[in-house]
Amino acid sequence: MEGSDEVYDHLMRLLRERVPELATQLSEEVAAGRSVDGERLSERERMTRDGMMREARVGRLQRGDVAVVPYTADERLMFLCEALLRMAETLQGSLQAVSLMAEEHQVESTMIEFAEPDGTNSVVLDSSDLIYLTARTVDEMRRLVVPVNEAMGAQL
Amino acid sequence: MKRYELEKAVEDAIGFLDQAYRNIAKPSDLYEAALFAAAVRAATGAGGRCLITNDGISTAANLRFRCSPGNLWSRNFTYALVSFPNGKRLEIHLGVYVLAGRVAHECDVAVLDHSEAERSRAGGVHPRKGKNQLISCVEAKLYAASPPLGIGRAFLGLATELGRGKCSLAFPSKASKNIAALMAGKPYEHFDELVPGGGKVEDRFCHHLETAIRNWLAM
Repeated sequence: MEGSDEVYDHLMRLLRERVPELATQLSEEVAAGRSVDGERLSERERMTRDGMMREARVGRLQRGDVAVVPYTADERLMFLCEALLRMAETLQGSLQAVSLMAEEHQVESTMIEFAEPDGTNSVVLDSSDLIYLTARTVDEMRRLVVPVNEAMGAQL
Repeated sequence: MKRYELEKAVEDAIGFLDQAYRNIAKPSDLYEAALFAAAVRAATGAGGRCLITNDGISTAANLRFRCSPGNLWSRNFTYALVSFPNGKRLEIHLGVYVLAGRVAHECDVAVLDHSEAERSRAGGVHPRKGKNQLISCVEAKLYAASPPLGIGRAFLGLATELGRGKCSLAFPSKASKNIAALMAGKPYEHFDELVPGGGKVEDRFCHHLETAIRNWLAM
């Protein structure tokens, strides 16, 4: 898509402000690029790399070589969308799994507390409220992100 | 889809996720708690009767988990006490130290023989990693994009310390080719795409833990 680079940069800036942990995870993966077996590179990519290696007098691609191919801007956008959806689904699934366990084992309260072992700090979640919020987040996320991914996928 | 529509859709999606993230406050800890719930399911699947407890006697009134690693004997944190028909009992803990050699390692989810846990509580000493002591442990990583290689290497180090075949690594994203290659052929399982709440990967994870528990039961 035209302008994917700018869109991705803008969205990553926003993500970094709002959900910095996820932005860091994505940046790391994008920076690492995609590993591809030398033999599986596209014909064009293979010829280019073989040519550069010949020029540098270092032989050519061999069996066992692993090349790194940078992600395109469209692929990066797809990654971003997939990661957003995956995170939302994980939060919702986690909350549901913990609540279900509590219910099945007769834990009365719907409160889940996460506390420091020394008792200095704790956070209490009310799973009955949050289940609705996270389910809505997943629904909204699917509504928003799936069409984007389909649109991007169609262009790849 | 037009460029501005796409941009707006993803901006809104980030907004929704941000809201959920803020409300949950401890997303990584919640993911670990979900894997604890999966371990409870596995123990029940192996034929155990499970008590979710904060004192070892009665059912917990509410769930209270550690949000950073701590000692097993620290009081009033939730764990599972599982009893089997053959009289054996195990415990499932979240975020406790387990001793390997002279080093205490953090286990996100630890499945321990009950007598080892009792010993730990009585003496204020870390549970040990022996084959009748530590049954299984899980390293959880809340990564929605593939974890970097360093995470895989750190896990392999931990797994080597805690004993062959005992540790597994779980994360929600798909593993990159690099991390999958690092784990290939090693005697430690990794479960990528483990999104709690059902699905094949979670079933495979539970089955893996259930097998470890069944093997311990047969010892």
